[in-house]
Amino acid sequence: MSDIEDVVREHLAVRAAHVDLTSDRADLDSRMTRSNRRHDTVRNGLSLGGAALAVVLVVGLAYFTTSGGSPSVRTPVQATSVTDRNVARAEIAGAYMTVFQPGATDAQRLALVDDPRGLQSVINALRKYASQSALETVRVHVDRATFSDATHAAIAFTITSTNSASFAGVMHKTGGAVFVDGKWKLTRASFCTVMAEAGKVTHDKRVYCPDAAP
Amino acid sequence: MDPEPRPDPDAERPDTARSGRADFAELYERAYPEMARLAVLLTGSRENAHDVVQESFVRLHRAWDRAENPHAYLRRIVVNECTSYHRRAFRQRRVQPLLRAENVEFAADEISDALARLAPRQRAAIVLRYWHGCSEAEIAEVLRCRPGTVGSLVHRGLAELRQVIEP
Repeated sequence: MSDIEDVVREHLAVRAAHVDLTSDRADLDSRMTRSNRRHDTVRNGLSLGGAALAVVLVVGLAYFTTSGGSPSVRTPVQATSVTDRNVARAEIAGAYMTVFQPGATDAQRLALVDDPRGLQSVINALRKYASQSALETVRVHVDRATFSDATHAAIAFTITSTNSASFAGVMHKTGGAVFVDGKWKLTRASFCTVMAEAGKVTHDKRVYCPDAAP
Repeated sequence: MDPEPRPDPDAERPDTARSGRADFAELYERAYPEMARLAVLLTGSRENAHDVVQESFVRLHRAWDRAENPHAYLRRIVVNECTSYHRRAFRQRRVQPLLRAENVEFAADEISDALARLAPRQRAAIVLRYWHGCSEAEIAEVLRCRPGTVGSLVHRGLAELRQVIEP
């Protein structure tokens, strides 16, 4: 063993012997409480984000998993009540996204709209009088869902479109969602709001829902 | 002053001491002095050492159910926290050079000064080897490197210290 090793060993031992720090259990408990609080905050944030991400992944997977030509469209997972608000919000966002998802069939779109009577003709009119691609270029994103009771929610959403024949840009609108038949659906008025914006056409005609005509 | 005998906590630590609040409290009271000394030797500061050790126990408590060997795990946490402390101090010195006179209390002699100038992992290897009496394999586990790397860290660290002690 070299001299330097002995010198270092002795030096460290002497230094360590001078350390007179004492444990402080109260301080440790306080630190653990703060740490638990931070940990809970992060965990809650992650679970919220994870739920949203899961819905986005499911929607994306459903869209890209085609069977026989027509892209499959996600059906929202049923929510039992609004008490699980985070899940409900994710389902509502998924419903809005699905209804205005490129490649969705009309039946798939209307299945997620509450009271869809007469709306097929609106879609047909949009295709006839507006740009053929109007419905394919509009996108809807849910910004906020505020629940008024267990089966109703007020929705703030954003419409974006790249179709210059109708409008190109971003529009902020409000609408609603309702829990019927075991799943969250767009209110008829919400659907019509989007269709009206997408249906602002050139020529001299505009597309309106039957009950929303001026 | 006679050098204090090297700590051998594993000899008295029951391997099953890994569950329950009472076990954690017992480990805290028993291991705190040793970890405090380790942290002081690694940081050069009593104040920061206390902070490092307390935070290390918080982290251990969070992982208590998963820790196979709580004492060894705690030692690793303390060393890692000390390394993080040096990184933060280094960054702070770059941003605020006027504040570089941090709480380094061991600058009273040339060996302490030389130890403080070693890279954090070199210093950790030296302290674990010559104060804690750890084997190269144990140090390698703490530093998460190969035993050969530990040998290199110790060798180079000693070489730097030798330049100060045996100029």
